[in-house]
Parts: sequence; structure tokens; C-alpha cells
Amino acid sequence: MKITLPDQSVKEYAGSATPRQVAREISEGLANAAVAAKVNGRLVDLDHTLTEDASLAIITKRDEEYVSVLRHTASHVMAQAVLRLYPNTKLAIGPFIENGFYYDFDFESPVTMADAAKIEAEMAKIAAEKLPLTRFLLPRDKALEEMRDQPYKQELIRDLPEGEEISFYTQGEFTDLCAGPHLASTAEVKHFKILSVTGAYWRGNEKNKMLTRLYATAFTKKQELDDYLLQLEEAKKRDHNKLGRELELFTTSDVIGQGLPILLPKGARVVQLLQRFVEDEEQKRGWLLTKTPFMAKSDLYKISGHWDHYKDGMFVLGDEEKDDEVYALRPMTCPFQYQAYLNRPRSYRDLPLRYNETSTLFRNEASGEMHGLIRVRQFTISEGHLMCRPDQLEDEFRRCLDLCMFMLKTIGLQDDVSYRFSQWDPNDRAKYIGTEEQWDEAQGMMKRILDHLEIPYKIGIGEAAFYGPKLDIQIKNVHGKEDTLITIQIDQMLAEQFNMEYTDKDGTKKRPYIIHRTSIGCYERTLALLIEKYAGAFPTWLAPVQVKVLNITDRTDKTCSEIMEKLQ
Amino acid sequence: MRAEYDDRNEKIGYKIREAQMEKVPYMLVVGDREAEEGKVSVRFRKEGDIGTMTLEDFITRITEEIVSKRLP
Repeated sequence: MKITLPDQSVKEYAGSATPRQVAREISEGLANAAVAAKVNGRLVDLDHTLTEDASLAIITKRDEEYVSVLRHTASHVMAQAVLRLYPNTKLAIGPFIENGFYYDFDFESPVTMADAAKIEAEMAKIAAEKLPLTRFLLPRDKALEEMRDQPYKQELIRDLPEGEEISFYTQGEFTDLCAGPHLASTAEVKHFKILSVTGAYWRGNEKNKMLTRLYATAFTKKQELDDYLLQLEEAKKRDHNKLGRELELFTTSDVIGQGLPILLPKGARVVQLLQRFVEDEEQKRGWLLTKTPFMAKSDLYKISGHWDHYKDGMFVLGDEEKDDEVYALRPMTCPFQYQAYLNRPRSYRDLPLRYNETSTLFRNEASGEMHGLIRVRQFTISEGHLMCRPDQLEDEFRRCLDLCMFMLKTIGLQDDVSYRFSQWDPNDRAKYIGTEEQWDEAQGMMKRILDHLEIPYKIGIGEAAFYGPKLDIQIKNVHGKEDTLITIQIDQMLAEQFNMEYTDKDGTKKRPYIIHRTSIGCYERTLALLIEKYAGAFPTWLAPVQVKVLNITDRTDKTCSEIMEKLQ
Repeated sequence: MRAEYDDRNEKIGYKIREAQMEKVPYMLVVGDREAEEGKVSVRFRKEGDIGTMTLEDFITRITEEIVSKRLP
């Protein structure tokens, strides 16, 4: 077995080894400072058994990974504190996450943020007790016995491969099922804070019981914690879901429903300005506006594949078993614009044919996903579908990307985005239409284009649309949660499904390539991001009210009225 | 231009604070002196008071900002 260290030096072992052993061989000092190890990029315990070739890094307090280990241990300290205060609580899971950690609990009686201070005080006690953390392994039957009072843990144990030794960590009276790694002592968990209490379904499945999730964070230094808490306060002030309501840009109504925001006059004004700007710019760039229906018979979605691949995400009108015809609200515009393409025979001279539409779409997202203007069930988006010949594809893709970049630059978001090349997952064929060859071809082509344009992208496996790969332009909201703002997709499958063709120069019938694209993201989401970016103070061209005239005294009332007339 | 007139019988400081809370980019304050001189006293969000100018000069300034879609 070969173990490659960060400096690329290689250590060879005849049998197995542990990171602790490797660290000791490097130096006694390193072994003493070590808190965890990273094997092939994954954090593991120092006593993790290495049996195969791997890359290995020893993590000490100086490494940035240290804080993740600290947070993981802090999650155990929080669970221990919870059990001391509420002994009949059932424990679910408690991982570290970016910027913090959480633990999901099934409490006997509700726990809220009002209880946070009490839990924090108990955590401080546990830290002061300087309890050592020790790891031990048990076979499955003993592991189930160990967790006899913890049904969620037992469920997790049963899911682990049979015959595998199961890892536990103990600190004082508290034991948790856990793969680790952890710090050696609770003493290091000094600077922490419980941030919020929310609901979370067991295993993220809404059919399961709703548990209580305590979000918290921990840092190595007090200053770092204070800075982070201040940053969170600032983010809260910018949160569009709060500020957007205060500024009367939007509201929601229980009787209308979740994920269905109401744009108030000021918010509607901003969206109207954005839409006019986008439609004008798209017209300048050769896009032809269509207006297509908001709903269609199931027949259309059966051809497009949405009925088989996306039905759960659609609002279906009618009952398939009883009614002759069933309709569904549209979740995207593509199949509608394809019908426009099919309106008459097309020749190679008609291409590229660029259709755009300011399109209202409906998607039945899970209710737990709803968030202000960012996660909604009805939204309006500047969609476009472009039919072209193979020789036009790269240039047209570039022009679509250029359109998106122009939009982002105009609204000032161009430096806040990152790129994701979303590909299919060949091991999950049922999710997609088309053959392996078609996917390889479409993805290969997209890769060449992106590399040629020097787009710095990350690859997302399994994130493609069911009909083709995507370039997703991603953006984070004030809370650091990432969403897709803009997407550009290459598709050769749907032209086939819809039997779209054109007559080429030589008289033969060919399938066009299709590019699906948005240009500014859905307007609700873009409005949300602009609220957060500018803390509500929009660029003057977008401000719902640009000028306010204020009189100091009634004597200037007439002058002010004249000024108003000239301004308007 | 999208303009509003706050003619309420409130103190000017109060009206300014409220317009700031609403994140309105420009405020035109008009008292006896401004009315007499045919000028407006302009406040621009973060920068605050940017001086008095004729309404025509103000319109030139804001129009340029709107047309160029200038970012804050």
C-alpha cells in the first residue's frame, strides 16, 4: 500500500496503517499536534485503518480543516447538553456544515430559541469538565444494544453494511454513533453560539417525522466568532425576505399560499423596468418575442418527456383516471415554443431562429423549500429557445452567454456569480432521455465551447436537465445559500421528440440543435438578489421612487407642485 | 421620472429620515430661500447634502445617471 503525503512523498506499508502511525513516523511533534486526518480529501479519525493506496494529510490546529473537526465535536457537546437538560430526547444526526454545525433532535416537548441560553450554559460546563473523547468499535448487534434508547440511531446502524465494525465516540456519560473525526477533549469547544431552531424532517423526507434542528456555530477564537455573528446580523438586515417586506416591494398571504408572493406596486415597478430592459435588449440581439399559453393538454408534455420525467413538479388540472383530457400548468416554455417552430417547414436559411418570451411558469416545489422570492411556485422568467444548425452552435452559445453577461453587468451582479457545468449521471439512466452517444456528443460539444471561452466552471454530475447538459450561473444569497440564477442548455433530444427539422442546402432533412437559455434569471429571484446586493437602495434607473420632493413650509407648496410637474 | 411629493405637515428632518428609510436615491428640499432663488437643495443618498442647483441642472444629472444605468 502506498500512502502519498501532501509534499508528494510516498510511504509504503506491507499491511494496514493508521494516520496516527504515519504521523508518528514523520515526527513525534506532528503526532502530538494531530487532531484528525484527511484521506483522499475526506476527514477521518487518526485511528482510521488505511488498507489501500491513498493520499493522506495530517490535520493539526493550524489547518483550516481544524475548525470543521471542532464544530463536529461541538455538535456532540450540544447533544450531550441537550440530554442532560432533557433526558428523554431522541437523537438523530449532528454533522458539521459550512460555517457551523447542527443537530436534529426529537424532543418530548418543544424547545425554542428561548431555551438556547440554557443549552449554551450546559455546553460551557461540559467544556469546563475537559472530558476526553474516545473512540471505540462495536459489531452490529452490540451497537444496536448500545443505542437501545435511540431509535433513530438504531435505524442508521441497520443501514450500515452488515459485518462492518461500527464506530462510536464517548465523552463522559455521553456516547454517540459517529464516524468521526473528533478533537481529543471537550475543553477546546470554547467559542460557540446556537443560531436558530428550525424544523427538519428525519432524513429530509417530508413523509417522516418533523424533528427539531438546532443550528449553531463554533470557532477557534472568540474574535472569529464575534466577527461571524456581526456578519450574520448584517446579512439579516439585507435579507430580502425581511427588507423586501419592510420596503413594501412584496408580501405574502396565507390564503393565497406558500411560494406565491404578491409583488406590491414598488416591487412590480422594479420587475417591469427589468423586463422592458431585457425585452428591448433581446430584440436588439435578434430574438423574436412569442406569447404562448400558460397551460397545455398532457399530450404536449408526453411528447416532451415532462409527463414521465417531471410530473411531480407540475400542477396538473383534472384527474387522469376520470377525465378525457387532463391539462397542466407549464413548468417551462420549451415545448410551447417548439410548436411555434413547427408552424411551417423550415429551411437552413431560417436558422438560427431565436424565440424569446417573458414567461410565467409554475413548479410544484416542496413546501419546506419555500423562501421569500427565491424559492417560489410561480415565477416569471426571460426564456429563450434557439434553433440552429450544427455549424452555428458555438457562435450562438457564445452570444447567449454574452447576453447573460451583459445583463449581469448592467445590474451589477457579474462579480458575484460562479459557473457550473451540469452533466448527466450515466449511472442513473432512468432520469434522462436520449442515448449515451447523444449525451457524450452534447456534453463534449459544451465542454469544447466552455473551454474555448475560458469559462472557469465546476462540474456537477447528475445536475443536467433530463434532455441535455447545462451551464448554470450560480449565485449565493446573503445567507450563503447557492441558487441558479441563469442557465444555458444544449439540447438535441427534444428536436427528435417533437420531430423538428429543417431542409439543408443539399435538400436533406436535418434536426436542428436547440439552445435553451434564460437571460437574467427569474424576475422574482433577481429582485431578491438585487434587494440583498444593494440593501434595498437600487441603482437610480431601477429605484421604484427616484426623487422625493420635500417642502420645508407650506409657503413653498406651489413651487414644489411645479417641480413635480417638471419631473414627471 | 418617478417622483413623489411629501407635503405632510412634518418637520423636514423627519421627512428626510423617512425618505432615507425608503432608500429613495434623491431628495429635493425646497424652503423659502430655494423658492426665491429658483433652485432646489439636493440630497443624494449616502453622500447627503450635495448643494443647491437649478431644477434643470438636477434633471440633467439624474437623466444621465438613469440613461447610463449607473450602479451605486
